[in-house]
Amino acid sequence: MSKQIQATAAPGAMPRRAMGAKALRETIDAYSMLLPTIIGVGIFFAVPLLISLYLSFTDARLFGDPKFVGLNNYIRALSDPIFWRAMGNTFVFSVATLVLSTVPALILALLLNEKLFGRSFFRVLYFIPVVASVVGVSLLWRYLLNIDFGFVNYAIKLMGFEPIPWLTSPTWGLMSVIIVFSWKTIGYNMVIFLAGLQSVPRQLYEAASLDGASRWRQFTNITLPMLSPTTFFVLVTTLINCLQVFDVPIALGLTRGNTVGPADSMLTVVPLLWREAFIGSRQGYASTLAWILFLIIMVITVVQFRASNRWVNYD
Amino acid sequence: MVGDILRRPWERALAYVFLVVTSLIMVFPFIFMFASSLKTSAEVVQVPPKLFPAVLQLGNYVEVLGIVPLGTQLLNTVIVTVFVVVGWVLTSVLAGYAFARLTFPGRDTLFSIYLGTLMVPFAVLIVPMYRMMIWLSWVDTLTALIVPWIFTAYGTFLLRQFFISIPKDLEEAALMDGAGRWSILFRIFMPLARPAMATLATFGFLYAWNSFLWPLIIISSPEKKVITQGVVDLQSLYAARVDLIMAGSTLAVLPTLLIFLLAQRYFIEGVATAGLAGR
Amino acid sequence: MQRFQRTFTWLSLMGILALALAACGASTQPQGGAATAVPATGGETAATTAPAPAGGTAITWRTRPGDAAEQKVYEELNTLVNTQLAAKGITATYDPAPNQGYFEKLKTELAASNAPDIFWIGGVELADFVATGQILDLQPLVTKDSSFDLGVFYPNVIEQLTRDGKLYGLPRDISTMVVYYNEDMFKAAGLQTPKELAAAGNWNWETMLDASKKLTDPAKQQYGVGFGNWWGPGWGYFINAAGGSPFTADRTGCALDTPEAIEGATFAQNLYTEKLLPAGDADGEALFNAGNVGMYFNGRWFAPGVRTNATFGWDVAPMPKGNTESTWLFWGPYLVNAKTTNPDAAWEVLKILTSAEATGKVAALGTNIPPRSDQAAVDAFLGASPPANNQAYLDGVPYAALEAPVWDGNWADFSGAVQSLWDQMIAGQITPEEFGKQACEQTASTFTK
Repeated sequence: MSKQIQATAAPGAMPRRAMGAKALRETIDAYSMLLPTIIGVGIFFAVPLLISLYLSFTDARLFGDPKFVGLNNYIRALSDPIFWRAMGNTFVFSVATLVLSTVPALILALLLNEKLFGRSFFRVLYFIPVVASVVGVSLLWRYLLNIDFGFVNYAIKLMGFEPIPWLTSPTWGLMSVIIVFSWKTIGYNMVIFLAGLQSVPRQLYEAASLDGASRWRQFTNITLPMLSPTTFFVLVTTLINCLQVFDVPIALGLTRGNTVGPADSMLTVVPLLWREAFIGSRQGYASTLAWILFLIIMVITVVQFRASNRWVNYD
Repeated sequence: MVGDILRRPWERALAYVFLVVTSLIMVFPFIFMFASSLKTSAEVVQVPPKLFPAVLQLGNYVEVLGIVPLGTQLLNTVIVTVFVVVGWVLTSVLAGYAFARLTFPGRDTLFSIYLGTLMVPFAVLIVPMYRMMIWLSWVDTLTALIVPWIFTAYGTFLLRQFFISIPKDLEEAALMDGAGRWSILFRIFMPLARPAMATLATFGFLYAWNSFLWPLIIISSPEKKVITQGVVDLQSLYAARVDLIMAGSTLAVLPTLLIFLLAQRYFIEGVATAGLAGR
Repeated sequence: MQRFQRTFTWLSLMGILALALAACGASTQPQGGAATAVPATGGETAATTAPAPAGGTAITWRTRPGDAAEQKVYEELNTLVNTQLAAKGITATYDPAPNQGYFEKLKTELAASNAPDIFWIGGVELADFVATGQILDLQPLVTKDSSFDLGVFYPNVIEQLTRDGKLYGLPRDISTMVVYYNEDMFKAAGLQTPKELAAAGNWNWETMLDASKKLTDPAKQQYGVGFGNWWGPGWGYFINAAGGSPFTADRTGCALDTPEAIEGATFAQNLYTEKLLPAGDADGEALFNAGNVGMYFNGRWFAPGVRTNATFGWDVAPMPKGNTESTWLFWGPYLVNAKTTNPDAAWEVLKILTSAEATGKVAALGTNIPPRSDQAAVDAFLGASPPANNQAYLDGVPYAALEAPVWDGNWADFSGAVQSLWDQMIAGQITPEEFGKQACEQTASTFTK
């Protein structure tokens, strides 16, 4: 019966009853396809999210029932020097990694955008650190950076400098994390930049060349603006990843005394909250720290989006 | 050529040098790791460091698989990864299709909310998820490593993007013939979506294989741990045997490298697409 | 029709998947000896897999091996327990757990109520675990068991385990910290070894410092001394040996700002400033085994690893004397889970694990020192060489400081704060005086009295 109606009615002029039945069928189909996701996300995301918010206002520990303490945890975080150290480390780490993992990535992308022999081979090589397990890579770097028998210090000595205590000095600890994480991220950002570069229309460059513009001018007036949405994407995603870094500081620096790096120099926010939750058993406080991190990420992302109106050109 | 940055030959040569040096920086650590895994424990801490071992200590791999126990952990990682990847693909195809091709009340709101979940840092969920696992008795089980994580907003987004780009007439013809939406999905759209599914599978593989924080929290029995935990335990249990630690790290890293080399296209194109789509 | 088939197929696939996962997850019991899936040497590991209890009681017990050699030792102990208790129908399963996250795992399992029946912890952790309320008081079991003599255990250790009339565990072993030294290196440099110096009554901080300086050779990447960067051989030892202590006498406050503590910190800082030792935490162990470190401070648990890996002649000596003789007495008790299904069976297993025969066997295999002073145990230990000079470990027992639980404070927070400041001091960023002062300021809040 419904088939006949579909076959004879003109689009947009279907009888109400058939339209209702069709839309209902579609809705049922859609929701049944979405059911696993809805249930899964409901149970394993929405519920924990709300529980986490609740816990952040309690003194929940591993054992015993949580007791409501209002804003105490938040106040405590703001007056806790270790929290501020972690925030400071996270901030310094993020800014440094942003620079170290985007500028070289852009340069490499520009070079690989040229018609060079073997460029897809290079592309693969740069991407290799990206796919390797962070933990495996960090343990590897732990030995490369070792002050006694690490290769990096050997190379430094060959060049005539004093070996650097990468992992044993509080001054250098964070730098080691920055180096490893940037090393791991450059390839990823490079591929994104490359895709963005390849979508810039050639004619723009040709026209500029005909007008006698230098390569540098072409870069600043054509490449950078056309690339700005990609650049924005790279900056936003890299920053969000940096703020949440966990694997590298822990694999490089977790000590028997449960400090992360010498004198907690590698301690960033997520390792801190992990330590509070699972070693200090202070789950309420840890939840508070998590929500503070969440808020910070939200604020920074909103700010970035707002600022993007000024410098990002979408076509 | 017009528009090229590198015009003169010496510029090209310089560029090559730069590319070679930087690619060495990217790759040399892995060569060193692999070479060190075949050294003796004294050779590995030797100064000045020699790249190649005097005699290849293949026995290190046999030894390392038996301890921690790394062999079992490797297997656990494979199991978890396979299930998570399959789960990712299935749930994303279903949800992606629904969001892309079906019209129903609440569609756009639901999709925005789902996408919005990507904003929430994982750290926010670890404490309550841990308590939930205790309540479900899933602590220290592989189930806890799989079931909560087969849903992915990123995957749904990817598949949705892909499905949107498929011309509508394919579907309309099938609908005319009286085919149901489920059937259309499985018989028409899924086969078409192979490239997107492949890309998603590669990302899922990376995500599952390399995950560390959650297994660290939830798994404590050595025989249930995954390879990332195993290698870290190796580091603390065998601090004096750097050669074994390197062997263990190689085992952790090698599968991802191999899969990457086989499926490079999907990895690299997947990342590139993400970048372009993210604008 | 086809649509229905598809949906049905899909739903059943998901269902099967879910069932498979549930089955995977159902087995939360630790597999014990079966964990060593690929035995490196022969069939002894297979023997420790406990057969499925046929109507008997199954007791799981866990301890933390420092390395593979130590783990083998405990697996053999499990065989011993099973042999002796077979008649009573009790089967024991040994569950090893690695260093990293050992205590976190235990606490998680206690919270989830699936912790092993018997488990070992480090002495300092006792207060935390007792505070969970899930540790069985052993006093009633001791009282009603006439065959058991508590007095045979070292009394200072038992004292730490007793509180408010309750006995919370029995010690697994003790381990005094000693100096492991590379005999070949000393002889090649024409120096008297620590053992010789100790025998002559001339083994103290001055002679140790002197030897360190003479043996350190940057060109050969050789260090005179080494020790891990944690409280045991680090701040704990140096402060104690200088006559101070991290805590006040009743352990209710910090005492790191006393002149003695600062003196100890200064001496230690000097070792780092003059680069006489590898600066990392565990790196020194690899270097000692490779023959690059002259003296290494560590507990008895280091011996099996050195035996396997060292290619040079080595021995041990007591710790050098500072202002006073000092070393640590590391110890750890076996605790019994208050939620164990069969306390009496657990008690039987526990008695064997701490018997003279078992602890002697463990000692003979080289890992630890028996927690009991009866002759059988002591003789078994002295005979477990290398190192030849096992007496050095026992010599330290009378004057050793015991690692002790902090009942009136939070050890994790205290040691974390102190460690962080110590790291800054040895890196030269703060002075020892600042270390002491800031340590006491920052840790004031970790005490509850």
